[in-house]
Amino acid sequence: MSILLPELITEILLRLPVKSLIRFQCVSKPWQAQINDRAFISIHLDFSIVGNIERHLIFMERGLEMPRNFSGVRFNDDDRFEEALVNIHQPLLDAGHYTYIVNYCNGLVCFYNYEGEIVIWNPLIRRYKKLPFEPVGFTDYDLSGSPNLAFGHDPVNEDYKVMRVEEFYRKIDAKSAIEVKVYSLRAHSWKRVEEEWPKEYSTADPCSMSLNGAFHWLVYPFSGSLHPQTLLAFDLATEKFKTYTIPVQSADDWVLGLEVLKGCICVCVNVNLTLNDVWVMKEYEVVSSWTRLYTIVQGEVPWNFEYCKPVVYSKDGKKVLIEQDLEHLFWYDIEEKRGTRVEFGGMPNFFETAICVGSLVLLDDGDIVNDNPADGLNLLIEAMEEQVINEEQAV
Amino acid sequence: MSSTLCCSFAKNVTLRSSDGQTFEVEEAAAQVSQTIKRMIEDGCTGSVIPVPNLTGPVLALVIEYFKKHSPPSDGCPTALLEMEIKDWDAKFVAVDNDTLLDLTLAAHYLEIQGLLDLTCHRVADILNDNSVEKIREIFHIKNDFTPEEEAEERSKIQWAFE
Repeated sequence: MSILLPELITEILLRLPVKSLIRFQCVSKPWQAQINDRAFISIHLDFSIVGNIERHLIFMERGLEMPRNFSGVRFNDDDRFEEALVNIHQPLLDAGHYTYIVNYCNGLVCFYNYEGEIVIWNPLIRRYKKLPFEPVGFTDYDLSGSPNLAFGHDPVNEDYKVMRVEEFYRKIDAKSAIEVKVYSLRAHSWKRVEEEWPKEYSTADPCSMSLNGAFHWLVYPFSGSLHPQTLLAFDLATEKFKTYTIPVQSADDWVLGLEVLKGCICVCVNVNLTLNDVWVMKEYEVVSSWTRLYTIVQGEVPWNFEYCKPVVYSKDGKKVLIEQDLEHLFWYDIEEKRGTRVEFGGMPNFFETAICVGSLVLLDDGDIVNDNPADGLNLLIEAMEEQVINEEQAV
Repeated sequence: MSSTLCCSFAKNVTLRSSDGQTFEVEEAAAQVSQTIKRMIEDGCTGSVIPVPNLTGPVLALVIEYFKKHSPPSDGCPTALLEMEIKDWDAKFVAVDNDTLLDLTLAAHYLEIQGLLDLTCHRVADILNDNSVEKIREIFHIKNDFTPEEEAEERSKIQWAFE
């Protein structure tokens, strides 16, 4: 009979997918403590990413359905997807229209709704953290639009952060102002950033990408053309902004997007119904390292596309999974220039995707997502009834 | 000294298990274990090297692993050889649970990283396929939850059991 040493139990647990680890919390109290240990959670994440132990593709349904449904499917080692999508309960009571995914990393998905509620959610372990409400400054100004949000990992402080950029305008003197605040998961609070958003760039493009402890946006000048010309980065540790030139000069019928592929920033150019061109900054922060990764010309794949967005590389690095026009997925073989559709049971008609690696982040301090959506709906109805009663009493 | 000469005079070392069984093995093969490598470097080769944490049958298995994983005499391993070793490894750990746990402990004591990765992966695969009750049995783990505590813990994560 052999009894395993605690350090060997750790070695073994590091190699397990998250659903098994959640279940194994019931083996004994020491196992439960081990699985919830912050250092273990961090090493498990490294193992999960490097060893490619598990990856899930998460779908957020887009369309008329209310509330927005989330579902997921696991991919296998050879990049084949499991047969069918599984529904996942999301944590916000009201995930209706205007619910968008801000970004995702390390198994966490950050999304927000029309009410301005923001959550950081680990769908694979059903835990979440709802961000506290944070009022906006510049009370004598009007808000110019919805906030520009970014989400990502701060490896220097081993934290996860959400950045909110709000633009204000005052009619009487035609003055504008920008407020930048950052939420820290560790501190569970917001803080105003001293460094000012560079005034020469508009905040209007909501698409941000997080990489190497910095947030990135494609920005265009406040005055002048509406074409993005610059990559703006905000370093989470130093809280400073930096800019880089991008490898393309945008034109009228071009749509530019920013992505992260295999740890590199990518600029994705979609030229109206003609082609999809993807550029990669091979060496981070080195402008001379921009390289064209691939170009898909209309007609090269057996279906027409308007907007193609690279999601993830295949394990062998030869193919890229592409999300097309919010309604299709296909694997694109870069060398052979060939596309293969990906379809499975229960795929929504319109969707946004996120990739989640197996991660236990939030297990030790997140709230549990309600398992029963009917409970959530009842709570929502109760809350609305309460509001009606309060309003009646106020009258 | 030329390499042929070195090979023809391959040095052996003797390892002794906790129950007194002795095994002779090529020094280069035994050095797959970092622990044994250090002992050899410290000049233990003249006498028998004691391996007090391993019984004879387990040490015999570990020596099989040493022989398969000793560095090839002609330098770099080929892709074919690597494939063959991978297959051999998979068969090597397809053993009963107690032997597998013994091998895991042996890899830990003797600091054999390759064998530790191999056995931990195999144990993880077995865990994945088994119930909480069965895992306690395999690992000889005492359930220190009261029935009420366990029921409460399970109710919080019912979905993970589906």
